[in-house]
Formats: sequence, C-alpha cells, structure tokens
Amino acid sequence: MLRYLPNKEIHSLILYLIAMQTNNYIKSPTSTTDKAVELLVQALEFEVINGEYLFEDGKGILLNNPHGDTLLITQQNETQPGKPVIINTPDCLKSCFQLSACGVKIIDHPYYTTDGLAAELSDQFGNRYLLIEKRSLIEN
Amino acid sequence: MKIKMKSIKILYNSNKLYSEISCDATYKNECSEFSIRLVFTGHEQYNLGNRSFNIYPGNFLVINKDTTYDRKIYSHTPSNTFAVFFAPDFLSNFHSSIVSGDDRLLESPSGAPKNDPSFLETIYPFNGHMMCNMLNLKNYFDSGEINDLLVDDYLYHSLLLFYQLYNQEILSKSQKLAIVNSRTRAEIFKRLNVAKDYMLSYYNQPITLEDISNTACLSAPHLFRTFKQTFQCSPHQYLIKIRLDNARHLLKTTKYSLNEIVNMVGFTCASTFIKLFKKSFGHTPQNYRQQHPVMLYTEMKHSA
Repeated sequence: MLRYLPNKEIHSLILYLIAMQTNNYIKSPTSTTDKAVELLVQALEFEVINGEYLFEDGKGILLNNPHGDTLLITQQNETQPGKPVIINTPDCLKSCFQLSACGVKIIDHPYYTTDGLAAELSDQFGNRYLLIEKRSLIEN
Repeated sequence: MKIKMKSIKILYNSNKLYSEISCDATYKNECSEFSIRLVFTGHEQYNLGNRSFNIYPGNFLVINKDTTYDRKIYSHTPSNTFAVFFAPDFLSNFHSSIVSGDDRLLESPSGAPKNDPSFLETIYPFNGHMMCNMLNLKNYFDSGEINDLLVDDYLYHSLLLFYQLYNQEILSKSQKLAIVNSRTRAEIFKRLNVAKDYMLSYYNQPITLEDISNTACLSAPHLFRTFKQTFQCSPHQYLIKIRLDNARHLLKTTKYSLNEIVNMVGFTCASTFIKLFKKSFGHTPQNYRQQHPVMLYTEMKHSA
C-alpha cells in the first residue's frame, strides 16, 4: 500500500508504525482532509508530525497528541465504517462538546466507567472516535 | 500581603459559578439558590442557623435555596474556594426528568409538577467522578473562555453524580437504622449527620465522644449504637479515618513536615499516627510521600 516513505526522522516512522499496528487510522476524502486535520488539532490537541506520506489514493497525515495517541489520516474517496479510533483526553465532556460543535455526531453520550469517562462519536465519513478520560478513582 | 481575588460568572440561564482566593473574608446573611460549596486549598467556615461547618478539601457542603448563612475564610495561606449555584428552573427541570418516567415526560413535556427539591444540608465526601468533573469545571472556568452550553453539560453531570451520592450517602444509609417509625428514623439520622459534620469540621481538635453526643443531642450510648448501624464504624473510628485521610491529603499536596502534619490533623502522638497510617494505607507516611511527589495546587490544576 505504501509507495514512498520519506526519509524523515525515525521518531515519525515509529509513530507511523504504531498507528498502523494499533489500527489508529481514519479515512477522509481528499477534499475534506484539511478540515479533518483542523478538527483534530483544534478540538483534541493533536499536532501534525508528518503530512507527507504518499499512498495509492492520496496523502497520509500522521498526528499525535500529548496524551500518547498517534493517529494516521489516510485520503480515500471510498470510506467504510471501521473500528473506533481511541483518543485519550483530559476532559471528555469538553472534547465531546467541541467535536459535536464541529458537526461530529454523538453516538454514546459521555458515560461513567470504573476507569473514567467515555463517549463515542461518529463523523460524516463513518469514522468512529472513542473518547476516553482516564481517572484514578481508587485513591481519592 | 493579603491576596484577594474573586471571579463570578452568571450564565444565560442564571446558573452561576463563583471562585474566590482569600486569606481573610467574612460574609453575613447570604441567601441564594441551591449551591454546592467546595474548598480546593485551605478551609472555609459556614454558619447555618445554629450549626457550624468547616469545609476542607475532600468534602463539600450543599446549601438549599433560601437558606440564610454566614461564611468566613480566615487562614495564613490563601484559601481557594469554589461554588456552583443552580438556578431554580435548571434544578427543578433536572429533578423532574430524574424522578418522572419517560411516559410522564412525554405527556407533559414542559415538566410534570415543578417543585423545588431540597436536600439534607450536610457535609458530603468530595471524591471519585464528582471530584474529577468539578476539577475539570474549575480548570475550564479559570481558562476564562466560557461557553455557557458546555457549562450546562458540566452542571448536568454534577447534578447527576450528586443525586447518585445522595442516594448512597443519605437514602441508603438512613435505611440502615433499625428503627420502625419513619419519623423517628429521619430525626435520628439527621442528628447522626450533625455528629458526623461536627467530626468533619473539628477533627483537628481534641474532641471526645461526650462533645459529639452533646452536639448531636443524643446520649453517648445511643449515639454509639446508631452511628455504628448507619456508618458501619464507631464515632472514634470515623474520626481516626477523617484524620488519616486529611493527613494523606496534606502529605500529597503540601511540604509540611511529618510532625507538623501529625499536629495539624489532631493526632497527639507521631508513632500512633504512623502505625495507624500504615495499617490503613499499607505504607508508612514517609514511603507514601516518596511515592507521591508533592503536588502543589497550581500543578494540580494542570494535571487534573
């Protein structure tokens, strides 16, 4: 699938492999990729690590956030719903609100678990996001 | 230099957020909507009628609509307090959505008979999801860019968690009292909460069972028996637990020495404290502090 991998930092290569290995990639049609990147950067604290991976259909953009999540956006014109992408957030209610304000649909409103707070959302291309706010509840 | 800082945000639906940092402040005869009162550092004293409460981090107080109260902050280091006020409409809509079934809500979407719910004005534990949500709300409030609709979400979740806590702390515990007459049971439960609040407010002072029973207007044996039925431990064990929890909080959030902490939480003997701490938490206080580097409030804000 991968035609050309630019000889960038090893760091970005490792993150790319992690994203592929953990299935943490989302698909976006070429025309809306910039919008998808902007959404992830603004609402979920993501940062673009490398935006120049080339695939058969188009570009691949690698992002990560300060909470240890690595995500790859691949440009594909035919998208099909897959497994949800897991994204950690320090404030699930806030992230959920921001995504929803950008038009991402909430499938499961924030719910409490023994580990924290979680919510599931879905964008217009069928990509699903599982937002998780981990909380250490044992000690307090 | 005395620090004093107040910020207030009134939202579109009259819900209100209030934060204050102060060393010395007194407010008399305040009266407001239903509110949740928190302290992140230091402490705040409340007087509701003839009852007096000291609120420390780890606890919160609720005050019903139309209750008149005085409050006072007086401490060497600045106390950071935070309060959330729920507008009567917001609270009664939430209440009817929780107590009415979906079918009834469909029949009268404007909300079934609206009534102002009122709760037992007592000290509640501030921990778990409730604490995490409130810390997130406080961080968001401090950020300055406030979206009213997102604050609605925070407040909705806070109420949801408070109702769960109310079920667990008040409704379930009152059922544990082996008293048939419901009115007597409610009165004794109320007095037991007075006893509990007294210990939570004055845990750092040398208090005796007699002091507690006098405050709660229950004889010592009666208090001992009914307290155990309700809280599953004796008043003395409860007091020790409060002192240990506060000591743990101080170990985690301040740089006070162990001996200072022992005195601050009301223990008279350091070796007894160390023994009890180890028994409760599985570590000595020194080990606990080594494993949990001191996190000051300003750091806690960013890591929450």
